[in-house]
Amino acid sequence: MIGIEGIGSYLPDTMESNLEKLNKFSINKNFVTDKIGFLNLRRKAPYETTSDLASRAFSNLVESYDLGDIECICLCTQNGDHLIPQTASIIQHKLGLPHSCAAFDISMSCSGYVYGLHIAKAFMDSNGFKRGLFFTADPYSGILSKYDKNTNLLFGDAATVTLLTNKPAYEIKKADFITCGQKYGALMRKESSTLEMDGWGILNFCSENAVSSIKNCLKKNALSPKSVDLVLLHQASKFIVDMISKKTLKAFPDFQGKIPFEAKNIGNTVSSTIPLLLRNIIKVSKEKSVVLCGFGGGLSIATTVVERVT
Amino acid sequence: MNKVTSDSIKDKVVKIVQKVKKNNHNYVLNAHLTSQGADSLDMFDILISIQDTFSINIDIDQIEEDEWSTIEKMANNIINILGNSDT
Repeated sequence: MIGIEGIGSYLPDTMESNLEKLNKFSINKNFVTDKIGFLNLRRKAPYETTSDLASRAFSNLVESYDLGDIECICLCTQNGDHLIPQTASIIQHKLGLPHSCAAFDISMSCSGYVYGLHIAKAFMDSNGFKRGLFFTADPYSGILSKYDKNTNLLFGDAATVTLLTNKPAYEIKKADFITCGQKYGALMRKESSTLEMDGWGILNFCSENAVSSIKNCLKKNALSPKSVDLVLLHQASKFIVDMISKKTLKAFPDFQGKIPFEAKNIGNTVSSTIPLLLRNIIKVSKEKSVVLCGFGGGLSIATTVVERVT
Repeated sequence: MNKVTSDSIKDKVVKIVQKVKKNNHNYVLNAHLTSQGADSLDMFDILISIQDTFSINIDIDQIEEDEWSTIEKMANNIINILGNSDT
């Protein structure tokens, strides 16, 4: 059984303060602290590439885990080092992994962690692999307009790497997926332009569908809401997390106090927000059943459950 | 839709706005809510609550065209949508 053994991460030290943008965007302090929720956004150095961020997350993983022979690497990104080739190959080279190591990218945004876990797990299972790495690294800072309030206050840079092995700490259970391709334009980057976001479209879609995805996922895994220890929502913004929490708590009062927002000094790091939260759970708090729910571009929602086995 | 129903919908919208803004402020019904202290995310919060309360769907194009910017416009739109769905 392939599951999660550990998670490594990289957060650039440089932070961009949203409180210094109040005049520029004609907003007040409460809008940043209570609504956006991100006081600071992590920013990679201009020369740092996606494969650099991933390599640094790998270095962090190596500090705590014995990696052994890595047989495959998968990277979730929509901001690879180049359009061609796949950035996973560059990572394989930078990490000095053997030629026998499979390497591939997946193109997903905020629901990418849940998708990637299942893709990598299935890929490993079908090939009899025992040890693989699943990276998330999607630095949006390079594609943001400095004049666009909708995106400039939200996105931060980060990378994570999840060690998937046949001796996991957490088993990956069944997932639920929702796609509304009709609204694909709600989060979009055309050709070489900057990122454009329809906040209402995304919020409305997530607000309508996230709870039903969580419901479906619990049902697929025959889990009662009471047995869930933690619900990790994609840290899109404090407003969206609060909004979905409110709706989730209506449906599942047992989730009270189990839905954290912990990206105040990080920002929305796309597919990295959930593993950044999960990393601490695996290392420190060790909850048994954890729901992971990613939502955003596509428009897309993916929800799964990870369950402690050791 | 008679006046009583129209007034009751306006009252419901006012209550939604007050709940989002956590106050009992007397809002001017035909003035833009953003000129009365609501920011862009308050507006989203209000519109999502309206969708939930009245089981309707609000279109992004209408929001962009300022069709949901005042309490009066909100109430009129709700009445129109509910009226159309009755027929």
